[in-house]
Amino acid sequence: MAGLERDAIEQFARYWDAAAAGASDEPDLADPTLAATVSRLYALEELPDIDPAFQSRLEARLLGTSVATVGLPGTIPLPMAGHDLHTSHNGRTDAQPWRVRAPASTRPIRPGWSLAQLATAALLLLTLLGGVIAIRSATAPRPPTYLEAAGRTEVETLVDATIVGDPATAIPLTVERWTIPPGSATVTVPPLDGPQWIVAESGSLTAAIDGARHELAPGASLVITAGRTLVVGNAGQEEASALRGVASDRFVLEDYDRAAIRKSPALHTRAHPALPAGTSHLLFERLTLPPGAILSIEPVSGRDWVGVVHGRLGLTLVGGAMPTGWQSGRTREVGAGELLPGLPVGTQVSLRNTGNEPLVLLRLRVTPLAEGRS
Amino acid sequence: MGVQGGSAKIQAPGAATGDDEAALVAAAQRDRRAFGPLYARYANPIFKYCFAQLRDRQAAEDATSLVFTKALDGLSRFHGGSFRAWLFAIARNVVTDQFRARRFDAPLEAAAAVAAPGATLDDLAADADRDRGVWTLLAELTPDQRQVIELRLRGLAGSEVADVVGRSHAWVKVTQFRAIQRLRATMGVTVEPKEVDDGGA
Repeated sequence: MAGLERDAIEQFARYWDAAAAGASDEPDLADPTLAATVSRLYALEELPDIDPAFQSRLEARLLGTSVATVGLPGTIPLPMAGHDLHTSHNGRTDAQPWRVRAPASTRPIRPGWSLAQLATAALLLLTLLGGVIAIRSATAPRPPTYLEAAGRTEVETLVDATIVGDPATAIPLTVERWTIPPGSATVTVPPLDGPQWIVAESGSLTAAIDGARHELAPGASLVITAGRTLVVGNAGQEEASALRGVASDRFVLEDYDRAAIRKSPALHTRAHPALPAGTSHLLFERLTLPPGAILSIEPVSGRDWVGVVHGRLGLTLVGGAMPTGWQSGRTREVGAGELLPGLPVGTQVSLRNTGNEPLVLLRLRVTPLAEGRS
Repeated sequence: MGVQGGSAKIQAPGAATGDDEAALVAAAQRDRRAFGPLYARYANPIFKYCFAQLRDRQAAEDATSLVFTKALDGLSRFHGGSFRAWLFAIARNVVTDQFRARRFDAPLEAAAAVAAPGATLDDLAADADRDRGVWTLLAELTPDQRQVIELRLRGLAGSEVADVVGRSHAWVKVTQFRAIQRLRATMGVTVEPKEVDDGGA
C-alpha cells in the first residue's frame, strides 16, 4: 500500500470517527468528496424507528416490568393465542410466520412404482447401508487423544506453560485482546497478584518485564509471573495486537490509557475462579477449521473454554452435566463475540464449522498440577 | 451530485455512548432490573440494524428480541471494552442466524431486488423509497464492505466495528475507505469549488 494512500486511509478514518462522535473540530480531508459521500449516505438512509408498543412489550418481558406503567400511546395489548396463530420470539402472535414456498409440482399425483424401480431403490439402499457400515467400522475405535479432526484442521499452540496461581485460593481468569496504535506511548501494567501471558498477533509488539525488553513477532508469547511489572509498546508503524491472559483478583480494577491501548474480550471464561490454587498447566491454542470440518474435544479438567474469533461454530455438547441453558445432544450455532460456557468434565464436545469461511477458535485449557490449600 | 466547498457535515445517529455506560453496565450486572437504561439507549439502534439487514419489520422485531434476551443472559460475562460493540456483535450473529433460517424460504424475487446493481443517483432521486435506494447502493459493495458501512451507519466507531466483525482496526479502516471510494463513484459525488470573494469588483 503506497504511503500516500495509507495516509489518506488514516486521515479518513480519523475524520469519520471524529464526525460520527459529534466532534466539532473533525479534521478536514484532503479529498472532500469522501466526506460528501458519507454525509449523503447518512442523509439517504431513513430506516423506520422501533414500534414504541413493541419496545415497551419487550422491555416488560425482559425486565419484568408492567406494560401498563409505560403508558406509551398506542400500546397494544398482547392478543390471545389461538389455534391458527403462531408465536414469534418477541412474544407477539403472528398470523404470517416465515413463508415456506413449496415448489409447484408439475406432477401432483405420483404414479405407483414399477418393479424395476423398486429393485433399483433396494439396490441403492443396500449400497448406502454398506457404505455406512464401512465408515462406522473404520471410525469406531476412537483414539484416546482429545482431538479428532476431519479435514485440514490447524492447531497452533500459542502458550504451553506451567503457571503458578495463588497458593491458597482460586482466582478469576480472563483473556482479552489488546490493540496498540503505533507511536511512542507505552502501557505499564503494575505488579499483579497472579500470572499473565501475552501472545503477539500482529505488528511489532514490545514487552519489558522488570526492565528486560523483548520484541515479540506475531505468534511469539511471554508468560509473566506474579509480582512483575510489565510495559508493552508498539515499535512499528502499523497497529499491533496481542492476546493477553491474566489471572488476578484485581484485573478488573486495572486502569489504562485508552488512547494508548484498546481492550476487548477475546475469550469469555465467565466470572468464576478459573485458575486453581497452586501450580497448573496452561495450554492456549488457536484452531482453524476449514468449512465443514468437525473437531471433537474431550474436556478433562473442568477448566476448558472455547471462543470464536472468526466464522460460524456449530457446538454440540453431549453429557450428563450440562451448562445452564444447554441440552445434551442439541447443536447451537454461535459466532464471534458470542458467549460460550465452560466445558464440564466428561462432556463430549463436537465443534463443527458451519460457515463458508475458515472457522478460527481460541481454546484454553487449565489443568491443575498441584492443588493449593483450598 | 455536487457538494459545494470543503467537507460536508455528517449527521450520525446515536453517536455518543456517554461516560456513564460502564456504570450502567455494572449496575445491570448486579441487578438485571437495572438494565432498563441500556435497553432504552440501544433498543432503537439495534432494531434499525436488524431492519436494515432483514428488511422486514416483524423479522427485525424478532431479532431485536433475541439480541436483548441473549445480552441479558450473557451480561455477567461481559468483561469490559465497548458494550455497544458487544451488543452489536450479538445482533450480527442473530441476524446471520435469521438469514440462514430464511435462506431456503425467501422468494427469488426478493433476492433479485436486493442484488440489482448499477443504480445511479438519478435513479435514486426518482425512487420514492429512499431506504431501498441505500440498499441498492450498498448492494454494489462486497459483503465485508457492506457489513462495515452498515455498522458505521448505526453510529459505531471504527474500533467498535473491528470488535463486532472480529477483524483488526486497520482492516476496518482500509475496508471503509475502499467502500466509500466505490460508493462515491456510484453516486457520482463531486465537489464544486468554493466561490471566492474577490473584494467586490
